[in-house]
Amino acid sequence: MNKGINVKVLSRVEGDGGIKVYVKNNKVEQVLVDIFEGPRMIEALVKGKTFQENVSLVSRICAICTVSHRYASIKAIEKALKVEVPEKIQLLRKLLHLAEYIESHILHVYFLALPDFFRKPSAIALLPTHKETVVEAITLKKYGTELMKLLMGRKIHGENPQVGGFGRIPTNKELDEFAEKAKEYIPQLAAFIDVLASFEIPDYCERETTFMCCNPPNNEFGFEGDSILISTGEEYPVEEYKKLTNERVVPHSYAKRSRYNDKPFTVGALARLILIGDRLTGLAKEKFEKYYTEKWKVNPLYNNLAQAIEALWSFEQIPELVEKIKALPDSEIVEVKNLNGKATAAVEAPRGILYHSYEIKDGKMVNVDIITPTAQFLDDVEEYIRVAAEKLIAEKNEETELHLEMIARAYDPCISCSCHMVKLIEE
Amino acid sequence: MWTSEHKPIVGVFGFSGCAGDQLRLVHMEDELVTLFTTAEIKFFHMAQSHQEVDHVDIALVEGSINTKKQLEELKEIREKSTFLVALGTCACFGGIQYLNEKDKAFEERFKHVYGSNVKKEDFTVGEAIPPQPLCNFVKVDAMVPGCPIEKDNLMPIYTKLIKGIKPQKYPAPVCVECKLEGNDCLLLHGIPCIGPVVSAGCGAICPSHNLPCVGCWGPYEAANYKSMLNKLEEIGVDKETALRKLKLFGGSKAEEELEKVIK
Repeated sequence: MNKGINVKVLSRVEGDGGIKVYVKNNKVEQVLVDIFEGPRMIEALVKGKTFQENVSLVSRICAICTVSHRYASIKAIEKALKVEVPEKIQLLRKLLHLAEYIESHILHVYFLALPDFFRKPSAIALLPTHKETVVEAITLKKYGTELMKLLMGRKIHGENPQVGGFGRIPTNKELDEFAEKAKEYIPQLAAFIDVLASFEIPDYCERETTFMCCNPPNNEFGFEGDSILISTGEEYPVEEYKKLTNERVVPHSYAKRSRYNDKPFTVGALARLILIGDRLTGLAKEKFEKYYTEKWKVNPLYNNLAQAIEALWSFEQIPELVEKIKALPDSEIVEVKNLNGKATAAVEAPRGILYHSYEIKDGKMVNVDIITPTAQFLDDVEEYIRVAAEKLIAEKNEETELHLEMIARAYDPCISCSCHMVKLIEE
Repeated sequence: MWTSEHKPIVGVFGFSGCAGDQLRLVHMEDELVTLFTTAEIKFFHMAQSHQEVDHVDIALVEGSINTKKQLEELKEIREKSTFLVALGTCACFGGIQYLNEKDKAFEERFKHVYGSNVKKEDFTVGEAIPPQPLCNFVKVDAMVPGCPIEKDNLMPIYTKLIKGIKPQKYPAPVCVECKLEGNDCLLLHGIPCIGPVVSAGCGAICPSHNLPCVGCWGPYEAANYKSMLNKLEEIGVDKETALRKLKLFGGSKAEEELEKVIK
């Protein structure tokens, strides 16, 4: 008999997608991660807008990675127009980016991924049995979103970060509060990582793939860089991003798809820790060394643990970073004098490399190319689902759909950024 | 409406947008547990596993309608819900993706992004249509604009709704909140702020951060665009720039109102 799997709506992800697995004679014929999210075509509508307007518009591509979009956009514009900003501004942006990592990773690990391990529909459904964990999740996430609010003006799509600086610089007192709280939350999150690492990770979705991430400067760990590291040992400047992504259009998705050397690849927390995890410091380094195994290289479900370690690292950076920021003088928004130029910038969004490539003429956007992490890893998700579906169908697993959804969810896809869900289809 | 004897059934649905309005619900950390326990949230893909629902008392709907599939789903939500709330600027006015729709900008953008040899009907995930606000297709019972919505403009409506009380509108421009914050008017300093024609509800955040309002809450219901254009001209903003600024987040309503004024 021919069977199929159809996970109609991929839930606990951002945006609208689904997974279809076509099965014939117990063999998987095709896997499609459908992206239903309607096309908004932001790259086209920002043409002719000023670079400041562009920053406001492109940050609306996605709510969860609004900071990463805003950051990449500001970086690309400043690179193109040769705007130099004071160190305080650079460090405040870095702090804001760490806040987004805490917000996004905590949201994903605790609220979106964790309920699966208990077979519950949501984190709220865990309240009766795991109240302390849920309260901890809410507290840690609130830390991230409140720090974003301080620096952006509000929790999502704040306009405070601008090309050349900030509308309002936070006071030392405001920053101190967050430094103190970070110290308080570090041991809590470190203890949670031990719990998370104790969950059994199934081995039905193992296969080799390629990993990519930004190479942060000074051989440090971090979430930005001017070149891209690849697990093949190659390294390319961000300007060559097209060679690394080769975007194409597929009929089952309004998100475009990417391949490198005609093969799917992975970006995100797992890729970063595999490629530059040896640069971690502090407790995050300890946890990484304790839990990292060769299995991480073949199983995307380890992404949840990788994200938790990155969230810990982010918390650990904040007290020292706040001290540095406090020691530097405030500055007004730098005036932009040169209005023409071209540049590409990349930052690591929590779910992977995000490219913004711009051409600006007379202060207005002429060409805009944006490649989001989800558009890069969707092909890889389809491949892992194929491998898993074959194994799960062969062993007649009763939870096949759940397991396939868990794979897609582990990538923390951002469907608005690119497009969302799973389905078994009987032919 | 419904009686307050049973917990109302709430569905949260998302169409095209950044999912920021749904995320803003999830970001109400202090109210999150109350949000999920005072009402029966039966449909909320971002935060919980998929459920089939026959009927919801309150439908919170985010995003603009950008595909034929979404349009069918919106009609189904309308049929199955008692009170439908458009959540966010995209659902209320079409959002940034509506920009210049009056000039048929959609077709051109589609070609630019997907290539001229890709046809809209080639996609198997619902044929793309020019983005539209919900009210262009179905009856909308309440609008909560915002990019994204803020707790302070959703909660007065939501708390009334779950008690079965019909909510009131939020009829003020950003200027009212800006005065309450005690800010100096940026327009008086020659900075092109469009707060006078934009819905309040954000707390006048941008002017409070020394930045002009970009208009992300969409048009204020009784906006005087003529006077706004005159003021912008007076401080030296050329007409093209002024119109672009007013349309950026203004969606269908701004384009309609501006068309009248220009004529």
